[in-house]
Order: sequence, then structure tokens, then C-alpha cells
Amino acid sequence: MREVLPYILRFVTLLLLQVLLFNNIDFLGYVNPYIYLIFFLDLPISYKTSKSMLLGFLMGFIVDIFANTMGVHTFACVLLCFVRNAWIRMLFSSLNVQQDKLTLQRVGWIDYIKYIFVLILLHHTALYMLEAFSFYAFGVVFLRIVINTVSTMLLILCYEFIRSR
Amino acid sequence: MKTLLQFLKRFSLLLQFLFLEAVAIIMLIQFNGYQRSVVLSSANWVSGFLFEGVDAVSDYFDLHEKNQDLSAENAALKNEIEHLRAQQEPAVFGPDSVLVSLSDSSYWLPYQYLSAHIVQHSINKSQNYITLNKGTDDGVFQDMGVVAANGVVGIVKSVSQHYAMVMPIINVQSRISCRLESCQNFGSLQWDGTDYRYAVLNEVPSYVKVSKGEKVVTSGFSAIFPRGILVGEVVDVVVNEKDQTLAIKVELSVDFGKLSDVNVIHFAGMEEFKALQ
Repeated sequence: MREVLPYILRFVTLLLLQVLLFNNIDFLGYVNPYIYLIFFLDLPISYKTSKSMLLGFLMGFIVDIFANTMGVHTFACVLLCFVRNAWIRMLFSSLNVQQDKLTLQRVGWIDYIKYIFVLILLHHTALYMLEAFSFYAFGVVFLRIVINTVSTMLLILCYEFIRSR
Repeated sequence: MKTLLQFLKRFSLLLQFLFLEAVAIIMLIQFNGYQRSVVLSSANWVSGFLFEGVDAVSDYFDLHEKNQDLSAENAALKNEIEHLRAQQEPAVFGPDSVLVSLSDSSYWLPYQYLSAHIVQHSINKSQNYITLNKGTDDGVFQDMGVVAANGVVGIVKSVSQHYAMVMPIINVQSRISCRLESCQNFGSLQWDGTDYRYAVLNEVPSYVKVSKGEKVVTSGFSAIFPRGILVGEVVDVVVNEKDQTLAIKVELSVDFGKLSDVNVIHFAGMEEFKALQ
């Protein structure tokens, strides 16, 4: 319980931050960072994919309810969680699993950016493609994916940087 | 069973993933108007495309039925034309309406049409016959005329309860009274027993000038056919020196090789007409 509690707390905090604050940013009509992904990126390395997918489903579902985009975030989060463990194994094959935390401090800037970039890009691609649900205005969709991948990544890196100090 | 369990265990993660994503997609489509409309309209496009293909194929299977329907409709329309014609000129004393005064109805309706389907027919003998699927029960009797959409076919020779045997133009015994459309001269149309596309119009006097391409129609004298139904076109003219008549080669307008649905002409005054003769 002691180990789980901070995660529950983080889950709720990030969720509230996302739906109450970050969902309303809509900066310049394009920028919509999704900082709730921190929760999945920060899960322990040994955390089972089957469980993280359920958490992804739950988180995505609640965000969807608030954003009124049923299914979009759910899909993207489940996809992110499904890929996460495999991606960690590919990227950090030498990483000690006993030491469970995957932090900026531990793996270094370049590897950490690689780690979060792929997952955020994947999440955002699924998200915006589903939202558009057609290839009609693919240019705009692509622009949104790129801009928001960068903005989300910057915010998460700031957060991780501050936390690691 | 064991292998199935093994399989499930091995792919449990993938299955879970697919299941959750499927749920997400269902939610996406179920609860979002826009995505729903996209899915539905593309589904409609696919199904519409499929149905169109199926329809194009099934249309061919329906052709037989449709042909029958069309020929029945043709018969009905011809009947109506006769009705209207009779209404319009109730007192014309031509060969078609000889019996006007004998009729007690308000107008005289000389000809009625009945649609029939050919069940058997030949074109390669010298005595060809056609069998129709209508008999006495349907009101078909001996000596009724038979026409197709584009011209004269022949005359009913014998009838059973449900079938009728027609002697077509392309039977060497057939004699049909015809005339040339432009000059009113009449003759007897016969077949020489060779090519089913051509027949010969005899007994036209040799002084009549006949040009190629002229139309040959029924004369209406026998009361079997109404006047002026197309038979064919003149393709060749030969003078018979012995009796100074013409032998006019006529290309028949009906293609006997392709015949399938015909109309039987019912002439209301037939019995009286015969009795007089």
C-alpha cells in the first residue's frame, strides 16, 4: 500500500491537472499538451503491461469523459502502454530492473528524450488521427501531431528536470 | 483444449490489447457523432457498392421474368389502343369494322391481344411450327393471328387446352395476305423453305412499280390480322414472265431465330366472318 499510494496520488493529480487546466490551454489553436502521460512514462520498469494497459484504459476513459472525445484518449493510452515495456527493453537492455525507477537522472538526457519521444509521438499520432478520422486534411493533422509532441515533451522534460534536482 | 489454453496464455497480452482497443473504437464510434457518421457513410458506400454488383448480376437472372412482364404489358397496351381507336371512330366501315352494326355494345372492339410465351419452335425445317404456352383455357383458338413486337409471326393452326400450335410465315404451307404499303396492291406471302430471314410475296401484277426498301404489311382481308401490321421490307423484285406477276423477295421484320414472346390476336367477329364466307 505504501508503494502504491504515491501512484494513486499522482494518477489523480495528473488527471485533474490535465482535464481542468491543460485541456483548456488551446494555445494558438494548435498547442494542447497532454501532461498526464507522465504517469505512464514514470511507472516502474517491472510494472506488468497487462496492468498498465488497464490503467491506461481507465485514465484515457476519464480524460475522454471530460474532453468529450469518447474513445480517442482511451485508444491512444492503451496503445502507449502496450508498447512501453517492449520499448524500454529495446532501449535499455542493460538497465538493472531491480532498481525500478526510470528517471532522467539515471539514464541521461539523450536516452530519456529518445524514450519519451517515441511514446509521446505514438500516443499523439493515434490521438489526432482518431480525432480527425479521415485523411482529408492530413496536413493539419500532421502539424498538430508534431507541434503537440514537441510541446508535451518540453513540459514533461521540465517536470522531470525539476524533480531530479 | 490444452493447445488452446497455451495459445491464449501466449497471446494474452496481445488479446488484452486488442480487446481494450476494440472497446475504445466502439466507444469512439458509438458516442461521437462525427466519427459515427464517417463510419456509417463509408459502410454505406461499401454496402452500396456490393449491392450494385449483386444487382447487376441478378438482373440477368430476372430477364426472363421481365420479358414476360413486358410482353404482357405490351398486350395490355395494344388492347387499350384498340379500345381508344374504336372509341374514336365508332362508325368507320372499313374491313376492320365490318360488323359495327351487329355489335350491341357502344363501340365495336374488333381486335384484342393476348400475350404468350414460345415453348418450342424450329427454323430449320421446311414445315416449321411454333408452340405457345396458351390454349383454349386462355382464349386461344384456331386461325388467330400471332404477332411479335416487330411484326407478323404466323397463324394458330391447332389448339389444345393449354397449348397452341402456330404455323409461322416460315412454313412452306403458310399463306398470308399482304400488301405493299405505298401502292395498296396485295399478294400472298409464301416461304420457299430455304432462308428463315426471307419470304416471297407473289401475285402482285407486274405493272406495279416496286422499289427496294418498301414496307410490306398485312392486308386485313382475312380478318386474322388487323390491317397494316408490318411484315417486312422489299429486298428484291423478279418478274415472272409466265403469268405476268412479280415475285417480291421480302426480308421479314421478325427475327425467327430470336423469337421468345409473342401476342395472339383475338378477332371478336371471327365466327360471323367465317359464316359469311
